[in-house]
Amino acid sequence: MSNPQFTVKSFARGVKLTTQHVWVPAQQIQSALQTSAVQGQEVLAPFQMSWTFTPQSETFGSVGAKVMLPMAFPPPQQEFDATTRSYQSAPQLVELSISFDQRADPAGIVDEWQCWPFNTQRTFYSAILGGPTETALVPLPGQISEVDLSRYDTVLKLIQKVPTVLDTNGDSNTEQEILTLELPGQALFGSAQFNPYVIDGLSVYMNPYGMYYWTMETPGLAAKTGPTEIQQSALLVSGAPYGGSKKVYYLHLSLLISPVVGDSYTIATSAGPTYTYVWPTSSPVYYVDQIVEGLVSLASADPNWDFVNGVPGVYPPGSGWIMATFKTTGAVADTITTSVSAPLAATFTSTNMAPGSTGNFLSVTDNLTPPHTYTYELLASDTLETAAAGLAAAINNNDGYLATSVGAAIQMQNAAGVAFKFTQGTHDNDHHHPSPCFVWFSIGRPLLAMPNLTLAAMFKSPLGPRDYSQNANPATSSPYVQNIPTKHLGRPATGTMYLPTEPAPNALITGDDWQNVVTALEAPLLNGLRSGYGRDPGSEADIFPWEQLANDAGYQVINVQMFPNWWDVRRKSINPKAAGANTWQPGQQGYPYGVGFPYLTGAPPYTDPVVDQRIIRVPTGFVLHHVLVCQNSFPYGGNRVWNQGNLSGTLFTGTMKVGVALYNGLRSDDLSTQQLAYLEWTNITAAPYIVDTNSGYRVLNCPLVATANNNGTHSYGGTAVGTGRPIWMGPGNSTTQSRTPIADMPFNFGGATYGTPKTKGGENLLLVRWSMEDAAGLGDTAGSKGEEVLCGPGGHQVILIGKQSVVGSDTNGKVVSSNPATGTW
Amino acid sequence: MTKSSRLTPNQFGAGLTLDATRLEQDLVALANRYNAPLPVDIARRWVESHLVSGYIPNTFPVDPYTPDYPTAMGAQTVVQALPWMGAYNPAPVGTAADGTSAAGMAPPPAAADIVNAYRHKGTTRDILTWETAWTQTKPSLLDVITLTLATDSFYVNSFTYLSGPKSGQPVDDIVVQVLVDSALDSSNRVASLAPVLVRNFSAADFLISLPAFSGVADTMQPPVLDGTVPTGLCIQLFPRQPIPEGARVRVALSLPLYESTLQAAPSAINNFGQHPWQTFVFSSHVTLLQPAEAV
Repeated sequence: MSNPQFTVKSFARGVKLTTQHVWVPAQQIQSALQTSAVQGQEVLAPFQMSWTFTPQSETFGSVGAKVMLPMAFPPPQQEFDATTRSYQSAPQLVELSISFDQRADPAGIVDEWQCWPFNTQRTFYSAILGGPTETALVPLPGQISEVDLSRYDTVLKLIQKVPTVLDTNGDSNTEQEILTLELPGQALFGSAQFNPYVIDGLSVYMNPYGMYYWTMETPGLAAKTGPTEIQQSALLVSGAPYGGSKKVYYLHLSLLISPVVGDSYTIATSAGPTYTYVWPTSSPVYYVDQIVEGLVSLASADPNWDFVNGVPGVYPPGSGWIMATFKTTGAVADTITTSVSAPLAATFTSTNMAPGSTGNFLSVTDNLTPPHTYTYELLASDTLETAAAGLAAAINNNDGYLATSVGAAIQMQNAAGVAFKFTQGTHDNDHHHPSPCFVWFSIGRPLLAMPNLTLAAMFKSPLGPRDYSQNANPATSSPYVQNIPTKHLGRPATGTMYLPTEPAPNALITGDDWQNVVTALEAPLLNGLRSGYGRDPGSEADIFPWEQLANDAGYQVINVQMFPNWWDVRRKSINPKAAGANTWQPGQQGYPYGVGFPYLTGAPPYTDPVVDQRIIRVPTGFVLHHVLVCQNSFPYGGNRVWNQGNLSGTLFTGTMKVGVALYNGLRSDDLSTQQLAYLEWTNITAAPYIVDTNSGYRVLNCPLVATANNNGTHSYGGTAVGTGRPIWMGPGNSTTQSRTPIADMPFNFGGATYGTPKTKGGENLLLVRWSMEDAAGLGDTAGSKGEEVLCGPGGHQVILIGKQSVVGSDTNGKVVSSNPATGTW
Repeated sequence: MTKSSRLTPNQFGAGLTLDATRLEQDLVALANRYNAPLPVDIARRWVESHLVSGYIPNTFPVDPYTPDYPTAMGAQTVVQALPWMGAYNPAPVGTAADGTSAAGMAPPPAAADIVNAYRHKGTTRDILTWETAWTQTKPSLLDVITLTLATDSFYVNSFTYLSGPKSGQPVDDIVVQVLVDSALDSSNRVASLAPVLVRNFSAADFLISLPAFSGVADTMQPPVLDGTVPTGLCIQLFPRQPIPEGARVRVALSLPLYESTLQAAPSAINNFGQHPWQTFVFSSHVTLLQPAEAV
């Protein structure tokens, strides 16, 4: 050990042994014990930052799309110096736990976007047609699905950069990738089920003056197509008519409308299993996402098939398919131009089918000369509703889910009444071959989600001295801690330790004398060296009567997500859906007009504030030094490049407000809140508080309560921010309820006076709020505000940063100041 | 009375030799022990860690595609459900006509392939569950679980039965549990330890504050919708559960699901209805205690 605190000189042979040889080192130890100055070896204290949210398919709906999660680790106020960038220690990332709610099964979880658009009953779910005994079902949102779990392959990267506020030479635009974790979905979430999975052995030091972003990419969630997982409602047109002999044939579809929340559902049929459905109270709306037609396996069909070119040959499965995406939910026809692939290029025209209506809902015009037009007609939609009504009578849905299944028939014929089929080579429609035609009403592979993805990153930092207040007067105390118990002010409790009196220099040292010294020095160790705060009934917010250890506080971060489950919500879409044109797509522009925000009343533009509130248990012995707020305007499915700026940073005209407060009203008869930090900003007023801007994120310094700007030199932004002195928090009792005065608001927001904490030392909850409002409306439909992301995926973040003392469970334990001569304690 | 040495190599007393070498041995032993106390010497050096999560329900419109979409927004309805999911993993109903052919879809697993049909203990299948999980390589204490179901005039839930035989009484169908997977059979939830399984409790036991205190204004900035202190439930449990190293810990909150056939409207029985997760703003806070460790 280098530079040990306690040293013993060697007792060389021949040197006369004096009492000083023995008592000086013993008294050195005694002194340190009595003054709470035992340093010990370096001890690391853990803390965790965690994020819990639900990445969904559209989160990764475009190439390169990612999720970003910010982190920062500014030094405590007494160490913070933006000029010298000095610090005592740097936190170290040591392990990362990753999990998501996989329903305890090695399978995928189907995403809600599977059901886009979110109408009352979602969309059709395809079910395999099997004549009257329709059976197979596809998994529903929230259900497990046996998919290729490599779709959960995830890449996590940790990016480091210089925060904008500390950029002195233009280097804040430089990002450094300091950690890359490639997580194989099949290995982690497959049958081996490493869920949750922990990556340990990391050793990544965090620059206290740096800015960090996790980036996460799981593009497989949105992988709709693939060679092995095409979701199928296969309609085998078996025994298809020979040309001319039958003009019309029917495809019998079984269409399943999904429940709101996927789970069991049954339906009674004449044969087979019993199913139960609930017919929705509102009318269903058709939605067909994808139709795939073509040859599935030419190996089982005529090898001479060729749609257009007439070239004989064997085609691998999948070749020659045409794929089209169309929707039948609008009011007018759509011309489908997407994904129509050669060789049978065609123009698709779909017509919306209002519930209860019949008629053609799709026409396909191929590119042959002359062109052929095929129509898809929905017949006898009465069947649909009649069947539904019939099913409703048999409802016995014990699960409370909404689901329905309907039978429908689709007639396929061309405009001339000729049956729809494929042409073979240059032959005409009358070629006598069975049509190996499959039609999928399909939505491709199930879109996947990661419900409650939880990233829990563990850091460690060395223990150091805990914060204390010199006295209880903020005007004269230096240092000063707000709201700290006046009983002890956080100052270490010194004690008196018995050590046998040092004999006269020439006195004879007896064996008993020395044994008493040894026993006295052993006693504190045997009883345990103490420091830190109590947290049990009777010892809340209190310290040990005598503390021996000098270092008992480590770095602490409490990460609080606001609106964590929200998708990309925007003030106004940059490209709102034109009337009748279904150009507006999920994942492309997010939700416009503030759609989905609660607390909005009436009609747009919605001037009400939208507030989220986290309520958490108040920590024990935690001293709050900084509050950082992270405004997330990262777009859903965003693949924005670094440094592209902040979408809302230039467009948002409203006001964001963030507050942190203590509350003492949990099962209490005193319901008071004590403000700890507050920040409100607009694009105009944000500048002094900005810590970092990057790629849709804006990280701001939320000042602590204070009465003067000069409190604010120990944080980002200096005096302009006007942050306050550190704030202690922890549930108290009758002996620790008396607290040092605390300011009422941050200086820049009206902080004027120090006073007795409103929570009176009885805080038991910590409230964190985030409010968004705009006098022009969060859902401005009339203006041209452009693409303002009010809240990106993963939500906003409020990061509470400070020092956390160790806690014990017994402040009233034995005090080791014993006199071994008497044997009493 | 002379005491015996406990931490030093030598014992001294009347009749025993006292020499400098042995004195030095003892002093060095004590000094070294104070220079680098062993874990056993440091009493109760636990550090709090905090895992915070939450959920504020979305209110999405009926159908953004309808032409009258902006005005239709007034008819807000519930659609987002994830990450709230059923506690029961269903087997597919019936059998796929073509099974899982190469070109086929990926269906729900067959009944025989479902690893854990009931993934939670002590619950029925008609519930929705919020579950988060983590694992750590070091032992810890799962100290406090604080689950808050906050209500206001927008997210309404009285947590009482509104009709039926229990009309007027607090609801008693919320389940909170902590599962620790078996180290030897980690994928089998049947083998999980459930150190916390709280059910059939009266919601009144966990009201944030008594109804008499409802509507008390708070002074915090920014204000919430009603400008009042939090109301609703705050389920705070103190399991102090030791978590072995490498153990997988799952915290789950389960809510009842009520079927429409039993109630004309979702609020007929209680405010949970068919969309129970929609009736409150949720906060979850897990406080861990972990030992401070010497480097």
